Amino acid sequence: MSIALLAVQTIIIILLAPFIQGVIKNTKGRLQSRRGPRYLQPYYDFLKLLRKDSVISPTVSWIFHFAPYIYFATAIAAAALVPTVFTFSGLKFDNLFVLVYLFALGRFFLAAASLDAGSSFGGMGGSREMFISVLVEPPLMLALFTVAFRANSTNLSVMATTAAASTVSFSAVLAAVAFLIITIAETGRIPVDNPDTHLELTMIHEGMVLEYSGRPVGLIFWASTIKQAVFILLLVNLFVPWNITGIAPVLTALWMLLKVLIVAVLLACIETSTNKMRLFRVPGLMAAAGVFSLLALIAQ
Amino acid sequence: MLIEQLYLVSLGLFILGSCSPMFTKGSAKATNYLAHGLATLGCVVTIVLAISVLLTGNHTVAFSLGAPIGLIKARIDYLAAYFLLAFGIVGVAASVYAIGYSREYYIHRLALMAALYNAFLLSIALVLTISQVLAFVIVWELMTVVSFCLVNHEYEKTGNTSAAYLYILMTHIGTAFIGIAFLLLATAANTLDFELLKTGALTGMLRNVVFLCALIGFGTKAGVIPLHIWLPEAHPAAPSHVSAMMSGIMIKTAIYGMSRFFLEFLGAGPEWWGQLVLILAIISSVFGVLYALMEHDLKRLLAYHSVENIGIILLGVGAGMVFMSKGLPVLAALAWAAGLYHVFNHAVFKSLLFLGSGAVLYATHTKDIEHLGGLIKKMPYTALFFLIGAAAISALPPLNGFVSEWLTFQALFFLPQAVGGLVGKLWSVILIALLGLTGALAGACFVKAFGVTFLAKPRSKKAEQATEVPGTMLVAMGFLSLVCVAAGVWPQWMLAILQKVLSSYAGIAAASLFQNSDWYAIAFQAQQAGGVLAMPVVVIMVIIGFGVAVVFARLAGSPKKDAGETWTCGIIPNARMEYTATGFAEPIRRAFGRVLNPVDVVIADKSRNPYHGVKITIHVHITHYISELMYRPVSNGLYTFANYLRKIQAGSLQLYIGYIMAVTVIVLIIGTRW
Amino acid sequence: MELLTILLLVAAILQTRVSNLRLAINIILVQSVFVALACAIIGFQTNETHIYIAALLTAIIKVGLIPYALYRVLPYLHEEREKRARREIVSANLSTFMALLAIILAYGMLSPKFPGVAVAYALPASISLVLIGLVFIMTRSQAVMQIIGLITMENGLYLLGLSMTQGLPLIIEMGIFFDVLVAVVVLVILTYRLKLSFMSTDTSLLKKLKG
Repeated sequence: MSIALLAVQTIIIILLAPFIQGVIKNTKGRLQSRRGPRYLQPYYDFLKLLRKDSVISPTVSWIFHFAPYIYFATAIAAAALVPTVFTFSGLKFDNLFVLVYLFALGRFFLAAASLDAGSSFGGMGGSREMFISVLVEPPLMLALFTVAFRANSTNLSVMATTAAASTVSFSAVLAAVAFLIITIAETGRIPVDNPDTHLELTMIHEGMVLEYSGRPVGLIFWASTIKQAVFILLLVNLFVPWNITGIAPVLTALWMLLKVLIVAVLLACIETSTNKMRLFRVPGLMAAAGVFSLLALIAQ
Repeated sequence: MLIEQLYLVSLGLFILGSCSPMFTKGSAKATNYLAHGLATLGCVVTIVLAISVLLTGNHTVAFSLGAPIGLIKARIDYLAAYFLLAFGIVGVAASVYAIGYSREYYIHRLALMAALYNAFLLSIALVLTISQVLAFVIVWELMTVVSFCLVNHEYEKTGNTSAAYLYILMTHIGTAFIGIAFLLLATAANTLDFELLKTGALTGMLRNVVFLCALIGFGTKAGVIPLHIWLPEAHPAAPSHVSAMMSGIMIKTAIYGMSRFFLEFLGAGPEWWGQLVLILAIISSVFGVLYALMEHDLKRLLAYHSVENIGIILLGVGAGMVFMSKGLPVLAALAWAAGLYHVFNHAVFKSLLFLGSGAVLYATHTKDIEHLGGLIKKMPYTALFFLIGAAAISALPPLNGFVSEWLTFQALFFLPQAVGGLVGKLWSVILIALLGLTGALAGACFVKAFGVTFLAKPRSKKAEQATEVPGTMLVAMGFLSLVCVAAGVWPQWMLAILQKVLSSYAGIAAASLFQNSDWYAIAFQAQQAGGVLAMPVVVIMVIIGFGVAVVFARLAGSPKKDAGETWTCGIIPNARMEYTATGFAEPIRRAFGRVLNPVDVVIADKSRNPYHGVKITIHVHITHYISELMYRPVSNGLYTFANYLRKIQAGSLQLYIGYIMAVTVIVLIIGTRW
Repeated sequence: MELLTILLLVAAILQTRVSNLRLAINIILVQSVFVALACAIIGFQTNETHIYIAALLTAIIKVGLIPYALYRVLPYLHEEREKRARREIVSANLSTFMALLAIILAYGMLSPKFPGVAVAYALPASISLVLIGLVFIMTRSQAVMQIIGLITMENGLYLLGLSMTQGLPLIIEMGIFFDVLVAVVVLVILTYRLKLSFMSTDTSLLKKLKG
């Protein structure tokens, strides 16, 4: 029974992820005095990409073919782990380290594949992606551990339950801000990376996947939106969790969706209001996130 | 009795293996097969021995060699059996690998190398089992000397001899400290037998001295920063299967020694012991992997990663010591289990990686990854096994590196229960963050190493002419990869072994540690909370996701794939357009520039045409602060002192006789006046 | 016995004045004769056979074999003498003065009154012989002269052993003899090789070997 519920929840997250991306893009458009793309545009993009053929360089090896699938697979597995409306501790695998390192697995293969085509764009993108991942990892651990210490466990479901029972406090706000910065870094949004362009100077994630075309691009694009959704869900459930108790799960789900959309709009506002940072200023930003997390820990 | 016989058989096989080249000197092929075959058999027997000891119980084999050493006992208890198991697995792989790899050495004194290799295996087996102080120091020295000879085997290449000298110098400094520690213990307990050493009553100050001497002594052999300077020199200089044994097992004998000291001889000590070990461990981890990222010699890179992983092992050990000192036996068991499990895992995947780099060396005759590339098409199996090793060392699920790092993370997570208050939480969270940092850096480093070596186009002629390596090498690497995957997806059996290993020491309660495990999950119960990890479920989730991805990709029919060359602005792409390894690591080098202090030396060769076609060579050096700040002043001071002393040596015979006369007269006067 | 002691010291002082190689070897021969005689007298006094054997051995080796070896090497060293002008470190007068200093030092430091020992007066003499031998080696740069200095030292030590203990055990005596014999033979061979290689046996040339 719980497996079926888990599957349903995962499928819903996977299906809703492009919608969140659409909301962000639309909001950005509106803030830039444009009409902005439709909310459902990412779905159309994905369906279009699923019908396209690929142009593949003869330099590549099986890693290049394998990487998008493994990236998508880890994104789905992460979506199954993340605590949303229902938490499933019975299956015993939703540990926060598993989540973090599943993403690392996907990123490893994608970065390796970026070197595979033998182009400088790919190499630069891969190098910068690993660079950003190195910088993000300590603040990510720090931020997640502020919640983990309170819950006295590294199990995501236990952490979510404990967080849901907590109240607004200064340390929670600090931790939330820190995790917001980390979300921006992990999902490749301005000010860390520009998800809209495809020039080597402004792209990190996009540069890494420059050589892909057709269906793999669709898979990677969808996996990125799932990753974004997972991080927003983590932010919402662990750091700003204040649920209304005592109502039916459907209403809890709707409340959660509302919070997610609010965060999406917030992300869009942040993206519009600032510009992309120089690459070597990102360590400073990550250090700031780390300091916020430490302060949150101290203030607990 | 069976165990005693197995032990003697394994030792005998190694001895036979080291003597056999004498008889097969005529034919290099026969030497190769016979010596390495005997080594393989010896390692297989060692595995059987270890498993039987783990199943039946402690066992002691006693030899008597007369004065002055007296009775020598070889004790194979659970701890020794655990290390012997790791030794056996890695040894089997390395020996089988050596059969194929030694073809490169047919003209290079193969008989000597095969004999020394067997002697090396023999000495390691002895070190792990001998339980008498003097005999232990003797076989420790034997191991050092044999590995010195092996490191120096290709002494024609520049740099190998100085690397070997540095290695033996540092190891002997370590052995001196180990000797001091052992002697202090032995005089206090008035016995030379390991089993009775813990009964000695040492006062507080002496216990601290013994602890520090053991830490420095074994730390030199293990490669803990700041005593690690020999590791990046010695491991690349040795032949590849020897490097695998050295990095996989020999530095683990140092961890074995530390475990004996901290678990058995000394027992629980004050808290600052564990904290000191934790500090050294985290420094080793972070700096080890940072320096590894800056290397583009494949074996030096792997050697620095050994430093990093020793740091991770010591994180578990240090946390265990802290828990022991605070009287939290279950958590101590968890932490020690994490450290010891990482010993096994590191042995397996590090030797896999060294064997892989040896295969690359065999095929292309270069270790410089800037000259490699595109090897995945020429050496597909090697690339696959190297990829598995790289994924394991980057702690990616579902391989074994992830499981032991997960256990280490959990041990560190529970650290605030030992070190109370805000300080405990901060210290624990800083350690966890830095450990995460090392994991991410290791991942970046291996994307670089694997990507630049195997992917894209070959960057030099040597890489273009590579072919797949002989079958025995592939079999060995494949075996180790299988162990990696197995230990990652089903770690329960290893953890059950660790439970047995740790259950016999004071201050640790391992008996009930992992009892809630089902067939698909490992779970531990600590003081207030537990942790759960189900690797097979993760694997299943990933496979399901994979299937979904494939389904989506095939939704609109099978994709048509056109071939189109990589876009390089219209030029035909060649290897010079690919990303270099130095370039790949450059953002990290810059971001950590304060610590690494990189120096770029740019040489522009404008001889042909000053405006167009300038040839630019860039050398990037980083400053190794520890060598600069610690070792260079010491060696400079020694040189200056020696230069002063040189003035006494005037070269004149008369002056020397004059020295003798002066001393004689002085002795005469003193002798008669007092 | 006392007379012999004084004669030994005189011979040693005499040696510091010569620079002719043949004469120096002759003097050392005379010195060894005196030592053998002293040994025989001690044997007569204590009436033990092994001391007679030791005296005989002294006579054979130190009076016979060693000077013979030295004489053998001499023809190759014709024209060698301890040339005063160039290579001598100290003049004859200065080396005699240093020998006298050594004797005064020895006699001053060591009291010749040891209870229970008959020939205790030989103790300072033997120490002074050792010191004179050292001075000799130090102040001469010719190889054969340094061998002679070594033999003087050896004589002194032998006398010490004789007088203090009324005769060392035979095994030790034999050991000492063989030691000296081998040392001298080796040195003689080396001198010959030195002459061949460097055309001279001036040991101050060895300074060039310093790295």
